[in-house]
Amino acid sequence: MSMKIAVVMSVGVLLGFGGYLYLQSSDEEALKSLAGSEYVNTVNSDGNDYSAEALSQMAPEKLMDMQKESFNAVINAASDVSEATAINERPDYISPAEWLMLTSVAKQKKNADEELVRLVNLVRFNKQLELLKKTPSDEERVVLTEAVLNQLPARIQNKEMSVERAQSVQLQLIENLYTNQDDIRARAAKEAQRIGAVFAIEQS
Amino acid sequence: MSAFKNKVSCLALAMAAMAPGVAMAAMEGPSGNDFYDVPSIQTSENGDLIWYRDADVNLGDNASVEKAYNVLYRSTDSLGAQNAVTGTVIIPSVAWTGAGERPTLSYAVGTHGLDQSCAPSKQLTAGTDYEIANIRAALEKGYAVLVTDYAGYTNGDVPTYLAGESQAHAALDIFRAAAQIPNAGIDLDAPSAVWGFSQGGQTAGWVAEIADNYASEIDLVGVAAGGAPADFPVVADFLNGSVGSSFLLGGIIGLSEQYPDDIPVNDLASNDGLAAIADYKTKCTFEFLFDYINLPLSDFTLDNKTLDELLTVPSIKNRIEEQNLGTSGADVPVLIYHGTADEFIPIEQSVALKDDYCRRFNKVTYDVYPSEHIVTLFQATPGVLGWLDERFAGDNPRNSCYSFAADPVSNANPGGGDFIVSLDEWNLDAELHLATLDQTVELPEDTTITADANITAESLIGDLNVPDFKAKLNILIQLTVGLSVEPVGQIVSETQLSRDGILSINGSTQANVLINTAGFSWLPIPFNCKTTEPATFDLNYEGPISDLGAGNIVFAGETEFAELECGWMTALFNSLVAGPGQTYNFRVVAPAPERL
Repeated sequence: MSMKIAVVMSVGVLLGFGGYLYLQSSDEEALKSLAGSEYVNTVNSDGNDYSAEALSQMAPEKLMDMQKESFNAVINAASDVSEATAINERPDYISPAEWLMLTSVAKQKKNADEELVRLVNLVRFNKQLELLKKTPSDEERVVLTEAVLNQLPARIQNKEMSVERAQSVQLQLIENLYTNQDDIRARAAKEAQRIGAVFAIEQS
Repeated sequence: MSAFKNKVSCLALAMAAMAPGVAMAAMEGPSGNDFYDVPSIQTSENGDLIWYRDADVNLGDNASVEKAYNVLYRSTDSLGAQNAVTGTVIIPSVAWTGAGERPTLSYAVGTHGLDQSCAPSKQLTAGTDYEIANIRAALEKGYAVLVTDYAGYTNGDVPTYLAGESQAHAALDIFRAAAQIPNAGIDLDAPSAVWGFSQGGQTAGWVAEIADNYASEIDLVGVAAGGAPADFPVVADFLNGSVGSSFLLGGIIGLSEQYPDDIPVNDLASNDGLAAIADYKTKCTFEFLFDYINLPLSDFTLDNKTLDELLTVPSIKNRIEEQNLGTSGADVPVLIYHGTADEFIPIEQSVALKDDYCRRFNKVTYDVYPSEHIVTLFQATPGVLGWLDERFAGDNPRNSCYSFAADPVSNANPGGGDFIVSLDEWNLDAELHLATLDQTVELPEDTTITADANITAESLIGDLNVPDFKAKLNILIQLTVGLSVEPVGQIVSETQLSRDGILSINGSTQANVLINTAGFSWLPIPFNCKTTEPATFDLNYEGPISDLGAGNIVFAGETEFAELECGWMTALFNSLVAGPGQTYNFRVVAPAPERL
């Protein structure tokens, strides 16, 4: 695949994906125009379930549906707090468009396989965090909170989050998890210990 | 006097007696401070080398120094009396790659202070001289560099600060003296130049005006005079009671050393004035600069006589006006340069000096810097060295006398208040390194910092301005992303200038990072990602004050980008862009000068 082909396809994916909410009909025409270009049927050699060309041909609505499906998969698998250690194929909680970009970024690193695992775990974590802010379900919120809290040490270990930032996230989540101040303090102390931080909130 | 020096003196006297009028063979001088004792040697010619010794100059790591010497040589003061002057001769380790012989540069220092410890030769050895950056830069060009101390740093003496003709003699005679150091490789026939700023600019200007008469055998090809006090009454009035008032006090003391009968400072000073003079003589530049800031001369005079009143005394007025430049023409091409924001020496009187030379059809190049005094001293270095290279190459200089550009006017901060160095839209050569993408993103060229460094209040407060820009991020092949770095609040910093000229800055600023668009430049799609909390950029620096003008102040560090809000792309962009380990490198660069 020529570089030009890849560029056109990649932008097509982004057009449909990130720009969905902003696209006017004329932009959609532009997208379809791109998708209908001479590069449309170029085969993706990465073995992804959707090639870049295929994604670039999709209607923005379809891409958004895929994105929503990946979020549903995050919720459905939230109780499984373990992180992936090896990845052979796109997990359900990573959308095809995200997969395209994550594999592209990972391939630039010497340890591409390990980097892809790290990025996939990080995206899932970030989606859990995002869903926590949006979900109206208390039940989902509890499951997601436990999942996020469980993964915070890994985020620090991977240098994806500072201890200070992680502790700030911990405290926000724990305060929403309990109503009793003693419970909050006890859990906060326990979680702080897991990330190597000191929990120091004075009793009121 | 040491036993060694007694022997040397006897030897020298014997030699002089045997061969009157013949230059003596150079001899090695004593170690330690005895070197600064003037022996009873009769020499016949200006520039005769009285003695020399190996010197261990400390110009910092990787300085181009092959060999250095201290010298004591004969010169002549402003009244025509013989004197002995100390100085330093430095041979670079880099080869001269230009045409002809290695050039020799006499670097004329600016104000150093009246205490013996302030002598450039001593501060170069100690590594504390605030002009080291310029001397280093000249050595890196391959020039041999001579640094006169000027008269008055020999033991028991007091510098005749701002006595222009004496300073010029010292700056010229060191060429002759250096050529007498055995095997030093300094040739009096080599192309030569003089460069100085402030007091050194005054010296250089004087050299330009007297060189043909005083030292015609020196192949002087050019003189660079920056920030020079050319019109002494004007400069004195400008300094009086202002941030640079200490230089006026120092000038009166220095000139009274040269002209004790005409400027009898001890008779003119009040008791407070006498105490101030005694104190002043124990201090170097960055000590008296702050200790005597914003004080009018009348604070130190009997009956609180004002500067204007003192200048009505003919002997004082005449001696001060004698230091003016431009009363005669320049014998060689001259580069004059000045900062518009110069708070010590007003730029208008250097424009008048240019006009004086132009009226005499001298060759004058004039460079205007948008900076204050100390910044200009170091910001000008590349421009000056480029101009000197042209002179050594024998090229014709640009003659600003024929320029139609408007004369520059002062935009210096008003005197009498805090000592404030204003950074007015200085360039910020800035880059961010994104950890996950392992990619360096350069901020746009017109990123600027506008700030006031208040040296008196020890603060720096200002603003960053980062225009929106585009970068290709390593997310997808050649994906162009529209980015913004949006400052939040002001830069707030503690800023100190120590008494040995070390600038320290300790502060921070905050900014949000925005991903506005993605796509090709012809098809950008809005994304509107923004960090939910601003990143903190620590701005910490400590180094010589020369770094400010030389563009060597670099704020480097590591920061953390908070998560971004990007609609449906949030999780992906947070994974690729947010998090700790983002490094930054901001280099502060003064705005470019203009050559008229």
